Amino acid sequence: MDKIGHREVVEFAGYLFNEETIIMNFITMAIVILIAFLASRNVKEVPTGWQNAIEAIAEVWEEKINTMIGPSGRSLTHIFLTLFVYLVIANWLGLFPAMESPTNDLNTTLSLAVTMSFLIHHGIGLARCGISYLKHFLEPFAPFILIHLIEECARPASLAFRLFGNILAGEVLIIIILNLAPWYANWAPHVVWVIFSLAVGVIQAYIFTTLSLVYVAPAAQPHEHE
Amino acid sequence: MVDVNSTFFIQMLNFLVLLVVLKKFAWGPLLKVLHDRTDKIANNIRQADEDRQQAAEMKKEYEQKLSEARKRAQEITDSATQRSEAERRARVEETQQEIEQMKSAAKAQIQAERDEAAKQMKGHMVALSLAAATKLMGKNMDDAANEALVGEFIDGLSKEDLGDLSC
Repeated sequence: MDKIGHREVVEFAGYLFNEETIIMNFITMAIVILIAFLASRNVKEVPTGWQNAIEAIAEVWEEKINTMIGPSGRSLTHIFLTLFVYLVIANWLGLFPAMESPTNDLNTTLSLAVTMSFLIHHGIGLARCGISYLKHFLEPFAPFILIHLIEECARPASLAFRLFGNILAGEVLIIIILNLAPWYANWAPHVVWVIFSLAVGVIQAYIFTTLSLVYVAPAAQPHEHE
Repeated sequence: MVDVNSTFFIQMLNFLVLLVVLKKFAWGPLLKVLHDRTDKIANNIRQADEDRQQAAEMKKEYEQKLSEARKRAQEITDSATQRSEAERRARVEETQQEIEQMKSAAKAQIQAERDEAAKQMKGHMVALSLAAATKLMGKNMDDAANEALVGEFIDGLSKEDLGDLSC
């Protein structure tokens, strides 16, 4: 029980790092890159196998992007596709024995949330409209900048804590279930909970990616800030 | 667990690197094929709609032309039939007339030739009979007696004596 939420912290050049989170993150990235490699190594016009699976996921996000941003948002599909696939793999990783999800660490979820709702969101806005993009912080009138700043903090925080809480709770429950009953009785609830956690992993990835898209969409819409 | 430390920046950097790497080497080519296929399908559907519309217009046009051609062909056939029927009738009438004319001309000629032949034969027969009678009787008779005698003679001649000539 003392393992729950515990992180080995290492110090390097005066900075503190969660060693396990970073290792698990590299494993997740390696799996995502492997899937991407399998899907794109022999791209055919009529897709099969991995290409077909990834195209199906890509089409889901492209459809959403088309609805929220329009056809010009096509160039952003790869960002949301990467985020979704990464999150699904990261969320599932903790379901394997001796593994932990990188997303059960707030550092990971917060970094992803800040990347999406701050870096990419405002990066796209600045790239599209230049410095005049920042004017929208003063709309409808100047004092609203406070509301906008609170919103800018609330968005990544809500994204990060939702994912972190769900995944951590799922993994905590796995440990609790395994410790609640002897080995010959705990397998049934354990299997049920792992199957449920698989679904939760996908649902949380979907929610995180969809909300990121909702935050990014206004900056990427063609009529906005122009 | 909830302590935010330098891992935050490492994770952010890792994710940005992952985004760039996947875009360049994996999703780029994959999405290009996907977009190309989407565009191709959209174009094909649009093209098919245009082709179908064009085909429908062409069909309509051809049907109209075909109907006109049929109508015209019917007119030509009707007119040719009427003309040939009229010509046939005219020919038949003309031929019948010619036949009638030829028949009546032939009848008239036959009648004339028969009359002439009968007349000639009668003359010859009278002369021949007179000569024969004179020779046989050895005496001359007056004209009235001659004629009465010859007439009697001729009337007494059998068909065999006259041959096949009819009078």
